[in-house]
Amino acid sequence: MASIHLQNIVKRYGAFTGVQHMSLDIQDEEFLVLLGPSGCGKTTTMRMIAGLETPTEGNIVIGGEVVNEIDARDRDVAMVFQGYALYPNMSIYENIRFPLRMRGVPAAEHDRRIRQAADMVELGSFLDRKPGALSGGQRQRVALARALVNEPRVLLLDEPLGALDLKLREAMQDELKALQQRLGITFVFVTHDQHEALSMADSLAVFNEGRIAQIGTPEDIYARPRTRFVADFVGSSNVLPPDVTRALGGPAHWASLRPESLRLTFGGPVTGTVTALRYLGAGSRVSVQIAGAELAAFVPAGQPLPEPGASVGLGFDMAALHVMEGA
Amino acid sequence: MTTAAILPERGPGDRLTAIFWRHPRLLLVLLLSPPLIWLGLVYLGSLAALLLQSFYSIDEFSGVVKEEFTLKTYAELFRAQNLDIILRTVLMAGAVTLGCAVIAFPIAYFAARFARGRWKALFYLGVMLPLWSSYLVKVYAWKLILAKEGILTWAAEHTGTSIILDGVLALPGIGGNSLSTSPIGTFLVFVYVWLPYMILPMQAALERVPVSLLEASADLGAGRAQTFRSVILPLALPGVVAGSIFTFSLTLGDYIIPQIIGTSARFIGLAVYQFQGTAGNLPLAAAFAVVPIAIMLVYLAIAKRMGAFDAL
Repeated sequence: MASIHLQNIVKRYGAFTGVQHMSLDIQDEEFLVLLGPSGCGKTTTMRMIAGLETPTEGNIVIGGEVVNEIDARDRDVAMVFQGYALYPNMSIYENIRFPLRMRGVPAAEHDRRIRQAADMVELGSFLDRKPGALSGGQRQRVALARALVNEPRVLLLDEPLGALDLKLREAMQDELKALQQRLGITFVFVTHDQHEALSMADSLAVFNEGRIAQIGTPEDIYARPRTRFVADFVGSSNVLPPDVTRALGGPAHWASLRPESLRLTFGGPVTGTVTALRYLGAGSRVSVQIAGAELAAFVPAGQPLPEPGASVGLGFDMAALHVMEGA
Repeated sequence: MTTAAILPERGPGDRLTAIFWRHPRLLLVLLLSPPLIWLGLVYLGSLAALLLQSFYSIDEFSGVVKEEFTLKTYAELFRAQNLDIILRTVLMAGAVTLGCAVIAFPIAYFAARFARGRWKALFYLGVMLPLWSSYLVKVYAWKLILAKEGILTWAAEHTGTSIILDGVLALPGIGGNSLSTSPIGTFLVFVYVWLPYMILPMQAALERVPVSLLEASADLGAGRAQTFRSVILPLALPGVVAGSIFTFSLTLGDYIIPQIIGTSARFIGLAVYQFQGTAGNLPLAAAFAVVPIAIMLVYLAIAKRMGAFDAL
């Protein structure tokens, strides 16, 4: 019921074009992640779905209806804002109650629904406090409860975990994913963190310069990036120019080779010189100079590491060498 | 070869800085003592002297101040004619505050939300400019504008709107012979003179309300009126209250505007002025001066209860 279709959307701000001819189909009950560097149009796209911005051209269709002219308040879409946008003068209880009051939900239902939403995000004991007295993670939960209390069909999340530390971030990622599966509503999640995007998305749209560079499952995008930008932005990758690809035995085309697909060998058809080592905890990243290009190989912890300046061979499965259709 | 880790001292300035660095409290004491002496001794001290004075009374025959503690002077405040002055002043201050708030809000809102760059500079200039000219000049200018022979009457005659002007002047209680001799005139001039003091704190408060809070409000289903009532107003309330403290207390204490514009009916400020001057009744003047203080305390207590400072 709540599939979302963006049809040839353009958003201009004066001379600047934020979003350029974008089309995007979001399935019902899907967890879609919009990933991209800052200024790539991902947040603008989300804000247009929410109704906080209107597209300059094109149509936004939610649940079969064109909603271009419909005010944010009349769209059955809720948003979790980047800074949470909680009302500092209201208690947590009143914050969660706000949408119920605004949408004219009968007062008799308020308490039950507020407590239900608070329980859903495990927020039971803070209801009397003001947002100022809560930690970042707790505020995050309040913002979620407030967005969900009205049971929207679509939940938009604008970098909701950006302000949290790593541990809490990972815990919230799991919780959000579980919540989405339990509620069965559409989630659109904006982030610039590729790890977050890969681990949470059913479907992942990679944005670049106001366009979608690639859309697909996280596995698909990671294994088969279509452009250099995607290969580089999602995970770390060795992006190979055509001549290097050919030197490695592939066609004369741009290609992507993930560091973890490279093995260090003794001798072999491809040899080079170790230029740098970087310790990453779970392993090390070894930079090897070959045929005018520098390739990074990931060596898991516990395996022997070469000295800088040593000559090593590089081995890989031909299948791991992904030739890109775009440039 | 060894190099010193400490750079050589460069004169007495360095030595002084070093002393302050080692004793941070010393610097704090030095910085704070002049304003604290001023505030504590000169300012609060004279306020205490005023308070003390109000508990004395005047000997009705000799006109000499009796330095004995009594509540007699305060009881005098409740005489019909004095109560009249207080009531008139409070009503005027309330009306002026309300008028200022209504006029100031759209201006402050525009300045806080939409004005950028050049427009913002223009806004500040426009609001502050009237404060650069003498208060007396402005008040006398208004007397001319509002006078029976003034530009307002002239404009009303030439646009055929004299009926409206006459209608307003015919209103019982607040009307009069001309605008410059009626309570409406006093009100208009008060609103004009104190308006900047309402706009600036309001604008500062509105500016602190993040746009995302307004967007969230729309996203969560609030209409514009609901957003105004439930989000903007409560968050701007500290600014509104701060502004109203200025307009309210300034009106309560002013004695020049009611003297130049309006009826000859007295206001608190004028009463204080006359009692301490021509009448030589310093205790009663002091008691009158305490009235605005008491009213402001009550006002602040009510504002606090209304939650005006919750968003601070």
